[in-house]
Amino acid sequence: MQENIQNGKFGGKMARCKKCNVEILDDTDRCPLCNLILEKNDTPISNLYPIDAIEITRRFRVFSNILLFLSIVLQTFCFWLDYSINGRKIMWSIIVGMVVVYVNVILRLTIMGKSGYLFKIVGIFFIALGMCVCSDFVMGYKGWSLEYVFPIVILVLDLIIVILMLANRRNWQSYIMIQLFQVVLGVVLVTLGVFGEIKWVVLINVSTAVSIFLFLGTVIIGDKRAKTELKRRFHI
Amino acid sequence: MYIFFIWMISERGPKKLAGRKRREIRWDKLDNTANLFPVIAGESMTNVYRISVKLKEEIQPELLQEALNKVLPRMDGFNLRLRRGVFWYYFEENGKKAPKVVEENTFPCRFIHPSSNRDYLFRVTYYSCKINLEVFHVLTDGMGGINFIRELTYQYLRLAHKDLQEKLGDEFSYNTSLNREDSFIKNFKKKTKRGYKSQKAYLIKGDKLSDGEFGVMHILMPLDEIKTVSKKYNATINEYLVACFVWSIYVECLKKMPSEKAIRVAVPVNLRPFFDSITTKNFFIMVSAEFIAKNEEYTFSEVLEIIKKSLHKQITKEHLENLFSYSVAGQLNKFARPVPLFLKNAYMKMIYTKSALANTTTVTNIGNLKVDEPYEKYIDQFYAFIAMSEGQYIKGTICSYNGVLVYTFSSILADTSIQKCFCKQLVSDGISVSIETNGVYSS
Repeated sequence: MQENIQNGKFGGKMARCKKCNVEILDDTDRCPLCNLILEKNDTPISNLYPIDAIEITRRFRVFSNILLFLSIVLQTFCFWLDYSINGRKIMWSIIVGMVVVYVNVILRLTIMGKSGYLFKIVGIFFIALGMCVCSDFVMGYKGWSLEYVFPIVILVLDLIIVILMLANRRNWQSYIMIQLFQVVLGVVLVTLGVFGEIKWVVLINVSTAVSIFLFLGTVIIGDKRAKTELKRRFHI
Repeated sequence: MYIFFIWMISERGPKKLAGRKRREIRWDKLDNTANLFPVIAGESMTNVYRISVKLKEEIQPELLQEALNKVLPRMDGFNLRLRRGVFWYYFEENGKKAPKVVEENTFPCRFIHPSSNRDYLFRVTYYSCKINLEVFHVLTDGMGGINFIRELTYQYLRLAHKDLQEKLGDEFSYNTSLNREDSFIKNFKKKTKRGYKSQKAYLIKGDKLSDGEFGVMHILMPLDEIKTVSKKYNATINEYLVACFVWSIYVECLKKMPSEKAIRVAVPVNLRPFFDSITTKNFFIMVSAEFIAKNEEYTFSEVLEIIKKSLHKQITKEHLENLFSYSVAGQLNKFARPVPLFLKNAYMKMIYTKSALANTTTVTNIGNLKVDEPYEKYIDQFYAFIAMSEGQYIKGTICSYNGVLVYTFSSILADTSIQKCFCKQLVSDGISVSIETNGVYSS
């Protein structure tokens, strides 16, 4: 009983609003309908809801807003500095901007975000990949993002998937779809290489081959469970 | 090493050689209504509803966790995780430890992130004497939620009171359903014309509470008093309360002026009694009670008559069957089925927005709840309410237990004039009213 009073659970006394002619069961001195001051009687009441829910929600919002504000200030400063030095030929501040965006997105995705770990891992890598490709284009497209970075990211993700399958043995088949996605990406890149859009294709071919073998190995050796997973994912 | 690993965990692995068969993980398709919820749910529109049971004693969290651990593995409808296929979402048996029971410390009906909830789509919290069950609507509707929280409460009480356990054992109640039939598909007849209204309804606007805040106001009244009043108006309790809500919007928002836009209240109708179903999946359909203020200065009685007429003509077995048959036909259409999920989602989101904006608000009634006799003396009250949806910033939920009816307003509007007018109407009809809130309107 003492603990409940300290925690605000037995908040106070029941009250009646004379204007609305209703009984108020909350621990409050004002009517929630008309804001009139309430006349309390001696009947004790208990709070049905926690009284600190409001405070917790507001604190979290403030932190994420501060982060966003600091990012805007930083990027505005960099943009001004770049323009002052280089005039209309702005370049490095765009790269800084992409890094700032990347940091914000990653922080929101990994720390503040509540999505699953697989989505976070894949998200981190593909957002970084997107930033690299953008940087490549900003610097006049030399092709390094697609010839080197892209296949390396695919290879690293393949390795991570194998580690995750080992760690999550109960549901190893859940990773089949991400393997399939990597195969599709690899095939798209190989196709671009065949049509001459990408010059140096060795690493792309290796990463695509690894993705294909990983997927095929999972399906063939995984047998019934792998096939059941694919059947469920593709059920119409 | 990779190949060896796959062989180890596949059907050809040592466990199979040892003679122990690995049971295949159970899976299930989503029912017709459930397909919509993963598409539209998010932080601002969570599609989570809450059912609470208030006991006459303080909750012991360890016992509540133990009760959940015992009940969950046997409740197939809740022991699930949501998976994303190429063409459809689907359920798979979860199998992980039950979600952690924690003390309530935030606003109700917040979005349920499966990844931080052991992939479960519901949560159980407690505060003081109250057990809360919050359910993502993809799992089941109010009836399914009641089914679960009732059994959870029984199990908790048996753990808290050994005499109950000795007297009743540890089996589920005879009234608890475990049926997982897709009653929509079972009772679907033929393709019919679209029954949903799509003209935009009058939408309630106003200053909202701060981001993330959620206002709850429970209005408690004696069941016999409201029965008497409803009878006086020759209406059901549901019709009377829906009319009170419409009246409050008409008085406080439209200021009793004529309006071209209708005040339309979406009323979910439980289809189980009509089609003799005991499924624990979703099985409900929405009808809309409509009031168009064509003239000035309607009286409450006039509004009630219009609402009664509007509901009467829609709540018939044939009409309800036509309504859900249209949706089911869309789901089973052989050209629509192989459309990739991301395209289906875009289409469903568009259709949903159109139909949600065709309703001013929603009033749901989960009925007069009963519990098994040995547990009655431990249970004080049931509460229920629903989260917000597109364009609907205030909603009503009705439930009654043990002679007390609780009408709960859930809202993100800062102003309480609609609730005030609602209470005023009840009081003027001679109903004794008590109010309980979650403190948002007093802070």
